[in-house]
Amino acid sequence: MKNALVVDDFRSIRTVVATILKKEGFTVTEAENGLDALKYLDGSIKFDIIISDVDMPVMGGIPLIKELRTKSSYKNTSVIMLTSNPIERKINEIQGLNIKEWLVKPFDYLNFKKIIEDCQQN
Amino acid sequence: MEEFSQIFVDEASEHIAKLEEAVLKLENDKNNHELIDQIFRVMHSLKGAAGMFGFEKIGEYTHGLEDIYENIRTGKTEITEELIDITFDSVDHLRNLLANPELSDKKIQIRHYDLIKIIKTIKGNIGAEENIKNIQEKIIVKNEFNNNNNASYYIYFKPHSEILNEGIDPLLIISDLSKFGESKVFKNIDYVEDLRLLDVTKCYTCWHIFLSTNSSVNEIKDHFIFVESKSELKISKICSFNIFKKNGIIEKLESVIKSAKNKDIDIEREIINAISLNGKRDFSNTEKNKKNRENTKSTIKVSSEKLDELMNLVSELVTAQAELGVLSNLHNIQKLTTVAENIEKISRSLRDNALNICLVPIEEMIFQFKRLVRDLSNELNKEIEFQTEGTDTELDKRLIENLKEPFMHIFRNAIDHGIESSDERISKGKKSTGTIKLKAYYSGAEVHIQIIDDGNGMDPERIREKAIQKKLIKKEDELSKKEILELIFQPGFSTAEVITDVSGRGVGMDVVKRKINEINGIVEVESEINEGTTITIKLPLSLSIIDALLVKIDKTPFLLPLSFVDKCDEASTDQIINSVNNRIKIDDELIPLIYLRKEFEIDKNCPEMHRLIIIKYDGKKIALVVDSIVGEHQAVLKPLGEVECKKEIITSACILGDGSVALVMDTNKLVEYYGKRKEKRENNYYEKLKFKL
Repeated sequence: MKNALVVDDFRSIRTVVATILKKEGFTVTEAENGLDALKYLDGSIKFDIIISDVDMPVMGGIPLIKELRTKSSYKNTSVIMLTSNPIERKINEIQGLNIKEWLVKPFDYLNFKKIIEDCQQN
Repeated sequence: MEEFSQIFVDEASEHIAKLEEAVLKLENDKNNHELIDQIFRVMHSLKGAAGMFGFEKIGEYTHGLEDIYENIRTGKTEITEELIDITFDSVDHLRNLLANPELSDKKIQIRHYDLIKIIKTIKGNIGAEENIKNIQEKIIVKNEFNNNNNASYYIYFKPHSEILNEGIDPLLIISDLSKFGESKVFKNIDYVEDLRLLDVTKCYTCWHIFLSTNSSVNEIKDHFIFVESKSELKISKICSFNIFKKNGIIEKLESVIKSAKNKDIDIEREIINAISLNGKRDFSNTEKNKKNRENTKSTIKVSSEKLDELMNLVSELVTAQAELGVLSNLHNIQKLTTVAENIEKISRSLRDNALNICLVPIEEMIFQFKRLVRDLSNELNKEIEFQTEGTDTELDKRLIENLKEPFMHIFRNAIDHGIESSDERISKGKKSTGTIKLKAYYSGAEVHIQIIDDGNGMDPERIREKAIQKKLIKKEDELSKKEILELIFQPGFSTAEVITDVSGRGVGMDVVKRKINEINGIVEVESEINEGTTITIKLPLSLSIIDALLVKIDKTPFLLPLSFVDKCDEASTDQIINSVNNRIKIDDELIPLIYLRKEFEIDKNCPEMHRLIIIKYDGKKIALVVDSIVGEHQAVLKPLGEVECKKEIITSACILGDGSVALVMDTNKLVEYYGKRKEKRENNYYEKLKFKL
């Protein structure tokens, strides 16, 4: 069974993303913000894909991924970032984080599905 | 996506409510970064999520506000009154947009563009150029798109007249649009000046563009990012298919553009009309309509009468079920018992559900009052702080509906006549800001809601004079202060010397009293000159059915609301009679007790062991002593009407399964009533009891 972690502070977005992922055969864990997500990352489930919003209260998506990459088991895990702003962050902040894909909200369902499929093939 | 939009509507409503609360707080605390952050975040999340669920207009709307709050967040600019006002307007407008995502209501449509324009001007003042610089430093993340072209947009682009001087070629922007998909551009040269006045360095042309693409509004918008802040730009989705693939549409649209000329707002509507008239109904529109219908289905308005009827029927069912329970116990038939137990379970959850439908926290109506206090105090130039307490107190929806109007009245009165102007307050040695507090709490089987102001209070002498003048009382009448204050509830009484727009003329507290009385409530008023006025509204917990504990004293059944019962214990008669200071030790704790046998003066058939019901009163534990506990009972409360009994402690009656009547005790009042009484008959009673034993 493949595991996915969905991080977004907006419940409805999480629901949509989770539903698509479930259709793709993932077991989905949802987290409200970066800090919440870190709890799950330290837990027993090893996630195969992580989908995270950028701007969230408490802890945003970029610090989350920075933290994530320091964990040996998550060095190469596929990460997809969701963002409302196409111009969200400065380049140097995301360098070396190996982010697979940026998706601008509102994003297209088919596009998202395709990206997920791509991630799985790698 | 359709199935998710209801989830979005629900969540967005929550966020908008939070937004309103944050803005209200922000108004008093303009430098609170947490609040600014919160507002920004709501705008930001709404913008992102709205588009996902087909609420493009919300995305479009929040975009501008988000930018403004981002600037405030990063300290580039400060909050102005104007901004707070527009944010309030936006809260209302966002709610409208949620209910009406397609802007089919003309009024909302006009409002939509007006507000966007205002937001743009505010945003324009906040260093637009700086923004562009920042943007250049940032990276642009772009989405891939394919050529399905599954939606068509109408774009109205009117660059600002200085655009050419800034070295930007509007034609390049427009021709670049073709990378999004198929497009058709119509020029509009209506704004070009007379040749003699023409300034060749200025741009006078504007364009109507039809674009078929599968990019989103925001992506198209981003295309105009460098010119957007100063230009007039409108992007709206007109349908969910490629208009270039349907014959005849483009021709029609061309004629619409030509005939509409400068009436910008109408164009959009005309376009949509033209497309739907083309005989091929837009699929997404019918889909949306369906969704709208579903929205209305999921939150229907039901008349209070229907709810009343439902509650009545449930009451009857509960009573009938109790009878069934007694019967099944009597006959002891296995199958009957199973059925009876099943019915009890069902009727219980049916009852809970029915009650739940009618119950809402009063928080819901408080927002309106916050708004009222804010708007009115601005209007009257008074500084007023609005405080609330116990807003999670739940009340029957019907009651809340009936309460709004009287509350509005009380608030208006408090703001208009109660709270003084800042100068006056300072001269009286008070804080310059007045306070109005709404406090709600449960009191036994009642909910009390108080509206407390710290204004100038009411002068009993003036009320008395006024009442005499109005011939409500006679000069020689002697009235207590309380009675005088009650006079304000008389029809046609108004103490304000100058009638203001705010509290109206003459229709005043009498309406309040009548309305409250209509729902079986009581209004009380307390007031001290210069200290303020407290208006207390006491409402019955309209819960006509409650869970209760059925107990017996001698052979008489009584009911105690289960919600107040903490635990049950037992004690011997000896322990109770010999208790010191009326206290008994339970779990290493000395708890005061009320011996109901003694209080009700029942001395027959005294059992050897008594049951203790430990109840909560004002956070403390108190033990009520009864003879025996029968069990839990779903009590359908019936008003006592004119029956003569101790109304101080008995609130209502209930018909038990065997047809007998049990009285429902109000534990709070019971404690107050017997707790205050001196130990008058006590010795006497115990003497008698000992003698019998």
